[in-house]
Amino acid sequence: MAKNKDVKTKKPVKNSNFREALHRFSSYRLALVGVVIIFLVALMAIFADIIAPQGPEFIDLEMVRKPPGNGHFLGTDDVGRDVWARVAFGARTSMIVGIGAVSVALSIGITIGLISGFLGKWADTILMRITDGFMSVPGLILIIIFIALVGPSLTSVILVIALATWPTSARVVRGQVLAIREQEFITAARVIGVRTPAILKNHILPNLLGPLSVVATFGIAGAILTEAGLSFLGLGVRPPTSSWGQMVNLAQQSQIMLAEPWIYVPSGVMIVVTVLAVNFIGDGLRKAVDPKSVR
Amino acid sequence: MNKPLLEVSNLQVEFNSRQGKVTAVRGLTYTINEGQSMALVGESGSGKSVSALALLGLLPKKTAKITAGSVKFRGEELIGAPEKTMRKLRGGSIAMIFQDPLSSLNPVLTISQQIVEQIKAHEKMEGKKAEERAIELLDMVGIPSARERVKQYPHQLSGGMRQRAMIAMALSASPSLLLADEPTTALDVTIQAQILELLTNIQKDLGMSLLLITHDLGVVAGFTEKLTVMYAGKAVEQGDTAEVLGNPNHPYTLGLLRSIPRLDRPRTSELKPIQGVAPDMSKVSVGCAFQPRCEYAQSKCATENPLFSTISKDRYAACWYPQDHALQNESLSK
Amino acid sequence: MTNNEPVLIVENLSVHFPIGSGLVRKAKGYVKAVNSVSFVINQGETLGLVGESGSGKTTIGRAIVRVNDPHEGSILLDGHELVGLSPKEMRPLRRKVQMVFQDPYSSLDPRQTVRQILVEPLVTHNLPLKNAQGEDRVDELLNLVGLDPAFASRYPHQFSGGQRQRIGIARALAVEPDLIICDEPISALDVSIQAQVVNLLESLKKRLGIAYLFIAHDLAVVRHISDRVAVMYLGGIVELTSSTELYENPRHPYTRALLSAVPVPDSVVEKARKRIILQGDIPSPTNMPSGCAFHTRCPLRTMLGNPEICSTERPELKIYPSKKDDHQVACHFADESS
Repeated sequence: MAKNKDVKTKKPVKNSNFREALHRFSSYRLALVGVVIIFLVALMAIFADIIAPQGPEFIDLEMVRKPPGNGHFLGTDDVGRDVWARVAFGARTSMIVGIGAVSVALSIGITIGLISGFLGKWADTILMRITDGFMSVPGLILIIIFIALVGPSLTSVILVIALATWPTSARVVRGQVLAIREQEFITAARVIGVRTPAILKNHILPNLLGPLSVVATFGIAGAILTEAGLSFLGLGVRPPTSSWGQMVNLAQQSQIMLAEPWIYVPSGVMIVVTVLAVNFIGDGLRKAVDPKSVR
Repeated sequence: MNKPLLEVSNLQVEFNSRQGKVTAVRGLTYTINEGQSMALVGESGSGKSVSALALLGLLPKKTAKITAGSVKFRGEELIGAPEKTMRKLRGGSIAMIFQDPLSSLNPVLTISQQIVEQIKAHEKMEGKKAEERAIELLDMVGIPSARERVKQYPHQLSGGMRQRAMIAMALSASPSLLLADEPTTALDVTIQAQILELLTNIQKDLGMSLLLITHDLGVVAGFTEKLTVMYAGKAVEQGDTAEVLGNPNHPYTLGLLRSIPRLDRPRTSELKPIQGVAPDMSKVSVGCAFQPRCEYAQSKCATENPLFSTISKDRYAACWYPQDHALQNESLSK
Repeated sequence: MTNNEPVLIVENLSVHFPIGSGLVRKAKGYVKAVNSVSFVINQGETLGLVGESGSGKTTIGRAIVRVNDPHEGSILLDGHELVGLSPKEMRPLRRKVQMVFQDPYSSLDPRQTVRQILVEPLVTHNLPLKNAQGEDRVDELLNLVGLDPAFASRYPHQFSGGQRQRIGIARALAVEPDLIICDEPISALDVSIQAQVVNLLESLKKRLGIAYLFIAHDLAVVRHISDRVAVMYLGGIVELTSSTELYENPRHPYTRALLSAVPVPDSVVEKARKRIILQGDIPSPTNMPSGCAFHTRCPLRTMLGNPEICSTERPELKIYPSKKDDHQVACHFADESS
């Protein structure tokens, strides 16, 4: 039979699906900028102990509300803690919350979305009504009630953000599963006799990874922002643990707001830059995953 | 009637993609006279549809470029013509119908609204009169109870009816050239027969010229006077439809005709496929593009590109070793 | 080639799909996709199933591999009844019947390599990954369908449509089935590639003795590949006979119209032909015409002065004696048409 010489001559490319996706991702410049920024923020979070050895909780009573200089290159806050150290450790808090909340939300979302989308019928109807129920409660009310019950802490912030955001990922997963399920390769697997768990693991999940990575990235950005907001309101991470939101919260004192900007501006800038960067990455991933969206 | 209406010569179209330049059309030449019908036949990727978009000025501006050639309509050059001229031409003197009528019709407007819009775009006519004209057109394309049907939305019509509605829209400005890109490919055989019959009658009645783009050699046979076969972006064979199908000169045309099972011939035990696959259009080919798949290829074919030239009276082919096979003699005719 | 041991016996098969049913709602009605269809496929035989869209031909194929659930009737595969089996009971029988799909793009998982695609059926049915000679089964399968085993580590998008279809055929062959349902296997391919795949299917049939249910709308290809052909219209078989007999001597008015509608690439023949152009559209299977499903468009009925029986009584598929082979036709006036 005809063996095709044409194809043989093509240079062997390994996993060029991934390569093409990478190409599309990197053709979006801002996504690369985002990656660099997040890389730096991550380094800051990981090596916070090294780059700010005095720690975020050390109080130097001699040095209260001092502007940058004198061994504190971003100055000190209202109780004499080093602002640079608090920013660096705040990065750690943001990263933990972002990744933690999204992991929990995605685990719930993937489970519910997979069951709902793949099994359909009764399971779908019931699970989606529950999801709708969660989505119809305003997120902020859900969060405030939960925090009031459990009390503010890093763990409760992570849990409450996950609780408020899983329905979105469940919906996305369900939608994707419904689309993938209609593809003929799923029918082919059924005709072969592949069992449902194996279909989910070998066919559905790998094809979900692309769209999920997009959801996850935007989820991280949202979680970081929500944590900052909660901490700003005093519902988030408790002092002395440092958090960017908490630091911005200090601007509520008019003296700090007007005369001592070094206390809150750096963390404010970090929030904006980090969230923007993560969003850029998300945009890049979306382009990478969906070739049709390329401009 | 023998005045040329559309003259395309040495048309070349290039796309810019990430893999580099893809030359989708690499030299296409044909003339359609007034009232004449021509078929442009080729497989997917042969450049047949791209060439049609090119002559209408509908290529995506960012990625595609016409790198050479000329397109003359009634003697007027279209390549490089201002957008205003082209807009007037499209849907006016040159009308189009496409493969998928559902995606070419606007789902939120009724059939009547869409035809009226089309009429008004090219003619000053008041609403009531335009509506009457729309009904008249639908009647002409054989839509039963047209007066009621005009008020319906595209999704309420069957595939065949939608294609009829598309044809009605195309006819609204009394075009002198109808460009039909795979008009029956999405339709069932019995519906295809209806639409082909309709197109034939309309073309004859209105004295319109027709450019039919298709991959189906059967559709071409009873329906067009002239035939141009494309392969890998180039015209490889051209001539009178009956003659080309009965006695193809180019090995590709010959191969295609031999590879398809035919209802007008006795059953054969095995088909004779063309081996291999169509070439990658992002590569520059040296020599004849069909050479790797050609059973008649010789050493010259791999190095020198055959020109599209006269083989006999009114017959053209791009081949160093044109064949002369009367296909009727190959098997017993019924 | 064909011996007369049936591999598949389908009897009175009906497949109906509910419309608008939900958790609490009852179905508003049914799409009667397949109505009481019966046929037999013998070992090593190719039965062609032709019809236009909405004729139910694809639904039949999918019901046999139990992707669709039959409403009633019986499907006997090598003597085993498939209707009513649970997915678990069905699994071992899937080794006997496989399917090749129309769309070579969506029928292969884009995230799997060719090797993963071909290993899946073997693993699912606990089959050895090496054959008796110690040769790798994936290599063997790729050789069988005319692909270079070196391609096994590639992904589907690196192949052309025709090559993808070969991979799909190799996947179906992996479990060594007795019957393969070919659902429009070449209609998505380019004309010059179609013949390659048709020839491959024929040579596999000769070498491995597989039977095919070849579902297609292209009458010329069906004639070429099939031993017998069943013509479908709106969920029912209207005519069933040997390929030669059907094309030389069609008896159902729908078959005649269908055959006359196929254009052939010969201008002389085309211009001399008298085409039977059917009026109107195919009715919707949600709203089946009474009596004979074809009576709304039937030129023979018009010619005979619209006899009442056509619109009141559904014609059964009856055997008519013929010169060559048994000829089954579902028409009250099958005798008149010849």
